Amino acid sequence: MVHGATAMTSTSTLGLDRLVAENCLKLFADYDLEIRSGEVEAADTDERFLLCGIIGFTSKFVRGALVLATTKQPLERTNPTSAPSHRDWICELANQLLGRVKNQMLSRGVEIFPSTPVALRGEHLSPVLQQRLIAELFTAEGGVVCVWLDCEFEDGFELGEPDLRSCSIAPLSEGEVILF
Amino acid sequence: MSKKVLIVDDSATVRQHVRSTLAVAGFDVVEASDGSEGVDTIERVNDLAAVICDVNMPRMNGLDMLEAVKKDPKHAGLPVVMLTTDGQHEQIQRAKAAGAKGWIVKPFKPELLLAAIRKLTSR
Repeated sequence: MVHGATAMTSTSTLGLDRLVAENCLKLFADYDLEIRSGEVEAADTDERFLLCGIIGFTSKFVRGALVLATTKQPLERTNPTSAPSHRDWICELANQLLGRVKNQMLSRGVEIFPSTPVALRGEHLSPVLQQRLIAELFTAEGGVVCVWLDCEFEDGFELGEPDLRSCSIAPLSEGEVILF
Repeated sequence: MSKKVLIVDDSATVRQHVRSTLAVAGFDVVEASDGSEGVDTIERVNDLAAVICDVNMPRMNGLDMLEAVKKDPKHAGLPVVMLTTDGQHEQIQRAKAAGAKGWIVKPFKPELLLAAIRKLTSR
């Protein structure tokens, strides 16, 4: 189902792999689906199609695209509505995942600008490496979730640690509401 | 008479989720799929009690929509709350300066969205 994706070490991906993995776990948990990192066994899914949402981003120092791919079960189980559109929901999940990554990169001093997502359906999808590829694989009950972050960094780019001393740059958390 | 709320979001799933959340509390929900359609709907529907609006949308984003709507004095009192993945304070301040009344980071908790809309429509 997924070919050619190789996870890279955290030193070469500047910690982005950890950001992507952590946020993917939290995103699906917020929609009441537990997913687990690890190898995919044949028994984990009986689905043949793979639907993915793709959302690009740019910034001064880093640019690329996030691809979120799932089989049918995780997509349907997380959808909060009774009349699901698979295409719409995978795009929204990709949008929300990149939004989480964006907020955390912001607290590390890096601002990225997302585009609007598109959806693709395929059976043997694999990324074509540009410069750096982050690939994370998760299993869920009856399905599989894959995330790829294909990105290109400017020379000398570093993703720092979150600046916890300054509340003024800490973004709001998911689910948070403020009224003015 | 039911209060009417406009949801502006390019995701049909999000619009339906907001609709089902507000409908159980008796709100009527009107939908628009981008900022441009949102502006047209606000002009066309006279009795909106509140607007919930995404930020990142094609054609016209939510902050541009907010600024366009608030230019008209007749919409000065219409509460607009932004619903978005973005948690950035600069964006929040821009929305506040443009006349928004709130900011919610996706995914929303239905009980908190409902509480916010009840509060905004009771003012």
